Amino acid sequence: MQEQVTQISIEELASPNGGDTITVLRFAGDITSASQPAILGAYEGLSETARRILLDFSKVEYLNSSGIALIIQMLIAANKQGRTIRSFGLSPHFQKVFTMVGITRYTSIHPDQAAACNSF
Amino acid sequence: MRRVAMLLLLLLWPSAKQACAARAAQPHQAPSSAPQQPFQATLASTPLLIQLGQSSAELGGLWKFHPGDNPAWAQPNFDDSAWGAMDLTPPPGSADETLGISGYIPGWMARGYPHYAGFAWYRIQVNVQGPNRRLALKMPSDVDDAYQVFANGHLIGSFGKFQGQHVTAYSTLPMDFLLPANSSHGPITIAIRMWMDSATPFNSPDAGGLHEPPVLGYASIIGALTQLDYDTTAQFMVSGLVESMIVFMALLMTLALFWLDRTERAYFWLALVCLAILLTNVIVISGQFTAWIGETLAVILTQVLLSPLQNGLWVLFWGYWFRIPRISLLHRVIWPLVALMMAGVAMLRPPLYGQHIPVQMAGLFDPLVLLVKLCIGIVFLVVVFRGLKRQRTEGGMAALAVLLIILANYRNEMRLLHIPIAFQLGGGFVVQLGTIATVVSLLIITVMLLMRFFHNQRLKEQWKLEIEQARQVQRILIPHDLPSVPGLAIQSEYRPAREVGGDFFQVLPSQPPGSVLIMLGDVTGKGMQAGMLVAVIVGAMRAVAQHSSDPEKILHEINIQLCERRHTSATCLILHIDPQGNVTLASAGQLPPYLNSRELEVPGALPLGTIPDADHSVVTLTLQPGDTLTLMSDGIVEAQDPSGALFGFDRIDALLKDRATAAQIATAAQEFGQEDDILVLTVHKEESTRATPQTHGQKVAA
Repeated sequence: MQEQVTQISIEELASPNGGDTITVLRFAGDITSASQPAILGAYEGLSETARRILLDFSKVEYLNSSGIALIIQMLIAANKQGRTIRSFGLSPHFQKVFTMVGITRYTSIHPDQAAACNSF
Repeated sequence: MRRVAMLLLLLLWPSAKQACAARAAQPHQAPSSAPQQPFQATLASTPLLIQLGQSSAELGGLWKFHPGDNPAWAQPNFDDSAWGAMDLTPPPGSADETLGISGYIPGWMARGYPHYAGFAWYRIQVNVQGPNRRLALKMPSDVDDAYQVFANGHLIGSFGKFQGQHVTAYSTLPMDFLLPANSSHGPITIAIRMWMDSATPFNSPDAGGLHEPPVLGYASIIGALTQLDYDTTAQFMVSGLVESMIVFMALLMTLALFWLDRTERAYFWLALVCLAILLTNVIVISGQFTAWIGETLAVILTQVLLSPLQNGLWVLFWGYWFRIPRISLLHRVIWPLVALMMAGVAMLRPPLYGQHIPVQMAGLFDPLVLLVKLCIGIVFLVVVFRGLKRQRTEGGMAALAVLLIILANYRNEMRLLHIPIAFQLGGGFVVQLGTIATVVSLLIITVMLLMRFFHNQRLKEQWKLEIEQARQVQRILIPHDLPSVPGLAIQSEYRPAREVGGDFFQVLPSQPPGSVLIMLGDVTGKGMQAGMLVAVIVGAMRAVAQHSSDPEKILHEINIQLCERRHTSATCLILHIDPQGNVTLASAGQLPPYLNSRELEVPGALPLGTIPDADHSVVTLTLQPGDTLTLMSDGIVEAQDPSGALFGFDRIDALLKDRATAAQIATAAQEFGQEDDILVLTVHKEESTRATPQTHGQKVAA
């Protein structure tokens, strides 16, 4: 009955190893089928020049299979556009689920932001 | 800046007003050197005037008044010439002498004794002429707060409990007292020992002592006048009684609605609001007719506890009504404010105020309490603003109801600002602004509640129908009788969620003869849509399985079909087991199966319906006699307990190490907290079949 709100904030980070800046998408709240406009809207709003994308899941409270399907959709689109994607902030449970559904073909999963940034 | 200035004005206004009133009252303090003389012109001058049927006389005019307390002041021979004067003549046109009904007279606070609370005495001397009949004195029904009456030094009656210096006051009732039989004629000295609680000034800016003149007259007439005073009170209270009846009916209705639909918490909170209003009314109204509850206790209950509680409950009701997100945050904000307001008001009310809290502290606490109350008001407005933004329907009605509630809850603040809060109707009925606001807002809310209730019921009927249809579709698609496959014991445990999930499985005979195809999966989404998608997938699988026994190929074809449909995805696992126990397994994002207690290593793969050229992971292995494969839907790992913890993989590992059956695993997840369909399938290779030469549980990634 209540609206499921997915908050997404976008941030630019300088790469620790030089090169392109890193665009961070920080998700907060629930990621479910109701998140479609928020997630795809945020992704489509990214600048053409954003080549390195970092996904922060550390503030996500709930993620279900429809939400995972959305993430996959976004990752495949990014992959087609030749963007590099890294993720962090996933609980061991969701790291396993992400691996199971093949998300790791499109993004590597890191324990924290620093490790994820260093991997670009 | 402007807002700040407005707020300051609000805070300063009442005290500024009081100060002006006090200054204006100063000149009234007449010089006290005037010699003693008869005060009541009608009584003291020509006797003929009152012998024409004058059975009672209002003791208006100049009384002598003195703050403080001394038993000697009751005596007729006490010299009160040094005392101040207190005119109890009602404002012109406000009194009806025939009926003994008087207009309101401002108390001593507005007449030269601005900050005084405690004991004070009124004295008057009268000279009664006329037939020698028994006299009585009617005391006014508007008095702050308790008194004892003396006639010629004898205590003739009191209102309130006087125990030494300790006084218990009650909400004033009309009272009359017989004068002693020997003082029915000639000069009589009437002395009134008045006591006002230090907190009474907070109820009205012009509190203090008598607000109407007492009436002296023949006992039978005075008795009738007292009864008339009760009738006047009743008239004044009619609107309160009507309000209470409407609130009571609203309480019954909200309780009934809550009983019928526990999911709508707004009903519950409105019931609490109604209960708080009703309790307040019962205490206030019953106090007008009987002295059953002491004024201090009544003040603590109504002003210290119930009034702040009502404010908080209203905010919570609207929070639930508008279904604002993070209602727990609202609880965390509102309860401390309510507690703060209770504590603040308690400081300014008996028994703390004046005894433990110095009177000067009022200047500090009064604005603080007002500030807390304004904070509650701001939270209220924020809730309403956010609610109206989210919920456009019924917005106009809700906005009107909210406006009226603010009027009702902040009526005391309006009174201090001298905004009229009561209106005279025809027939002498008086209606309080707060009553109108409460009644009208409750009527509006009642209509809104009923509308929501019927709307919810209609939705529920639709959902029920849809869920039932989806469940039927799913029931048809979930096989009840599994085909018997020689050498294999297959068991399934399916526990559908209350809302239809999208789990499915099929067990089909396959080629070569004696082989079996097991397909298990989960479509994303719930309800009818998921049910229909399951139907499509199962239909497609059975069609493909007619001409293919290769799990990877079946997955591939279904993936292409789903990709064409767009916005549909499903995880799926297909196993082909031949009579020798050779297993070919293809997965599209489904939870890997467990071989005995060990999870098979299956590379991750995208769910079906994501991209048309997806690869699916394929694993082969061979079952040895005694081996068990356990397949599960994600409804097990994602079962959630009330605290939000997931059932998770570790619990599955532990259960399988203990050789739990399909039913045991399903039950464990269900008891943990079922969120989705739960499906467990076990395939056990029986001991009696021929042994195969391959190594135990060997896996070959394809």
